[in-house]
Amino acid sequence: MPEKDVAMRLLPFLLLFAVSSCVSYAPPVTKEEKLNERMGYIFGELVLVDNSPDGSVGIQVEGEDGTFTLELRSGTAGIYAVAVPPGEYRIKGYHLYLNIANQSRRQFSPELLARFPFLSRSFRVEPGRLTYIGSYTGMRTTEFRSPSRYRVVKLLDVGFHYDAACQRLAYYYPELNGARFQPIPDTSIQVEEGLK
Amino acid sequence: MKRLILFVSLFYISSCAIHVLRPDYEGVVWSKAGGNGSRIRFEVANTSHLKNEAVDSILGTALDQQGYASDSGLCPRECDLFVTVSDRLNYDDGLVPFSMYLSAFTLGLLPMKTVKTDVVVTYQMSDANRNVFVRTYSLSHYAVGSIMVFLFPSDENSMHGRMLAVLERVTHEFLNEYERTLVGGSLPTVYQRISLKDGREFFFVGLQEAGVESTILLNNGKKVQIPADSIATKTVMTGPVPMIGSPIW
Repeated sequence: MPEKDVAMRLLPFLLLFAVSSCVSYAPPVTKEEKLNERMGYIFGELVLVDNSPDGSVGIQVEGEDGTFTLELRSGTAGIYAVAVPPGEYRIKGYHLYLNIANQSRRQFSPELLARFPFLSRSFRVEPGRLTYIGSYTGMRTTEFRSPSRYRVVKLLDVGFHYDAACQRLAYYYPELNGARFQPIPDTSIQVEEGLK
Repeated sequence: MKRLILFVSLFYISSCAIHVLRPDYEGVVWSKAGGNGSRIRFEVANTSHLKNEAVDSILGTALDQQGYASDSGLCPRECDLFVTVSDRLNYDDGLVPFSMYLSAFTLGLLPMKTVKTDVVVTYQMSDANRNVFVRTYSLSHYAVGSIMVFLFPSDENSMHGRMLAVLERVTHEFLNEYERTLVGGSLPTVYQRISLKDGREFFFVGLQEAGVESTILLNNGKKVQIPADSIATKTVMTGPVPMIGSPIW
């Protein structure tokens, strides 16, 4: 069989593979967006500490309508709110991305789930109410080790700082200031799980 | 010819080492009292690549020029000024201007990468009543450099100089804003958090109470009218704005 024919036959599979491995990131509400009383809101703190331009970390949230991912972004104002239909949701895990060939969907370790029962429980998102899903820190960096350098992306820290997170949300999203919040208890933990 | 190749190779390898060893983040938290006889105290949390002495110098100059560090200053009582300076450096593969490429190539060097720096400066001024005035400014600075940027300190100092000039400008901007906010020489009472009985939470707001009506002054300049008896709790701000990714978090 000519090489060209083989390539043409493989092309649809390669395209399908590429599309299936893409992650859809949920668009955050904008700072000027007013609170919609018919929608529910999920918010979290997602900070990506970086000195490397490549890679991203996402927190995957599963709802009745499917799974979406909140992306950890760079910057000091890493607070992220998305409007979702009211209903039952749960945090499914996290997603590490270096490039299309080096990415991984991961579930939280049993130790982490034991420490944070919230991560394994489903939670109800009420209309007009803001539900906090945690504060996450990721890191993307370049490690220089002989003979070469390696891009690294990892989940560095998970914590629940409810009061501080609500304040930061109100500071960065003035239009959401004055909403009803869904309280959860504060705890924190250090983790370090990554891709190289 | 062999000597030239050896010279260029050694030069490039040593330059790469400089690039690799250069720290991207250098976090230092420090504090310093204001000038002699001043009634102002400022603390700087510096996670940026700017030198502490430089940040100190620029803030000290700005405060002196505004009269804050003297007895005749605008601040009527003892004030605390918290400043957070943080940044990140990106060494992206960027386009290097042809002239720089040519000059670098002439010297036997390869052009380096684009340097982009984002700086976030947060100022917080509080007075003896623990009333607080907070402002955050974001700055971006782009510089295109060749390998020479890392070899010749003058270029590095020039970048510092440009950054500090911008920092000085935003410091003046903050102090002007602070001055405009003062009511009778004092900061108006600001509540960090007001919780209503119906579950609503307001943060970084002011409150005007008049009889049975209260007005919440939101941090985006808007107002919310509520019955005075609908307030469950109100908490005065006592600490800095909790920022993400900074040492005060």
